[in-house]
Amino acid sequence: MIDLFRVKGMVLRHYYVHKQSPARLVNMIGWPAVNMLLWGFMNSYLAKTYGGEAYIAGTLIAGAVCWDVYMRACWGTTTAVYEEFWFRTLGQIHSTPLRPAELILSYLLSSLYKLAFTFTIITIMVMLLFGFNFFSIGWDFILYLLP
Amino acid sequence: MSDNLLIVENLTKIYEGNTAAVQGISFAVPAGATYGLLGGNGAGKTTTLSMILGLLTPTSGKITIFDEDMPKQKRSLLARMNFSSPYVDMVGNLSVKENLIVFAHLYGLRDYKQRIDSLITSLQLEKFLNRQVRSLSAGQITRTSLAKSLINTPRLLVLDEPTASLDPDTADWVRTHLENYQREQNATILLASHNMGEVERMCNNILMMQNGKIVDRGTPRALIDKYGRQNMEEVFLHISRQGAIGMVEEAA
Repeated sequence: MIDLFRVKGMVLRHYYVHKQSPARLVNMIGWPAVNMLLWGFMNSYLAKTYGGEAYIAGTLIAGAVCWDVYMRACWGTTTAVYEEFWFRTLGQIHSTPLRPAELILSYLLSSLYKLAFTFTIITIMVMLLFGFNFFSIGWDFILYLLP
Repeated sequence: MSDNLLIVENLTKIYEGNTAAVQGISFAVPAGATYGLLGGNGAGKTTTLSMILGLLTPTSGKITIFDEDMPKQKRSLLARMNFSSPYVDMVGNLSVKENLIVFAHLYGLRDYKQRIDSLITSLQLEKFLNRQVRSLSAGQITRTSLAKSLINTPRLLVLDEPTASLDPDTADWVRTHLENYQREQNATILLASHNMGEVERMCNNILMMQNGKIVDRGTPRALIDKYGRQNMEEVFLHISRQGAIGMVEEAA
């Protein structure tokens, strides 16, 4: 049976690392912001060049947001696993009562909070800078994120 | 419940490539005792400890701890055990306090704040509590690792060379702390070490390992007398160079 207290311990382990690492914050905010700027200016360029084809530009920004979110979800989970190898902490972790299912759940939750943070920043950013409301594409995008 | 807290029966570990790291060893450790595993590099000490901790699956044999089977009851057993080794790192990019909080959660300690405060005081961690573990000295890392190993107040403590690379003063301080802990909690300690003075001082009983087998066993005094030597270091050298007097495992 999964003990959420132990899961919280592993989520805390990743939270503490991110809290004090500027390099990781840049990875969570900096690179997604650069990506959004790139596709945002592409949006402006297409809108000006092709007139009323804002739909195309909107599709590009929505695609960029979704791609970033999907990519970071994958990275978040895999780098959490690699980190245990890199810091040689697997022996410590596996000699505790933590179950494999709890470990996997903690990786998913750690990835999820990082994702939620990045997603919030970039959706606000594209709204403020380029006037694009990501949620205008409808809530169907959640299906895209499920895998 | 049996008087023996840890029972190892015919334990064998054969790695891929047919390397027999541990070959059918058997021993029992009574509750409240300190047993030492002694042997040169590659004797099978760490492999034995890893199997007792459930980190490695034995090729054959049986491990019983608190009358329960390891690895079948692994989670329940690990909650009552802990270990310390300089060869398994703490989380280097977390502070000492963050490490203790994380491991308190992993051991399911709901009321961990008081326990952590008590360990900080007894192991004198205050000065470097908020520093990242990777920035600490060897002695400070050992104290941090020791704090982690005592966080769940384990009844069985598995120690793999707990004072390796420490200066004599710090090493003595660590041994004294371990002895105090054992006395206060009536804990059982299984200790692998290359430091003969440490083994002579702390252990009630010694298991001498060579090439994955237990080649002799007994109290430090009995072994010193049996080999007609002055101390355990000389006994160790005798066994390493000339072999044990009568192979215990083979005789058994």
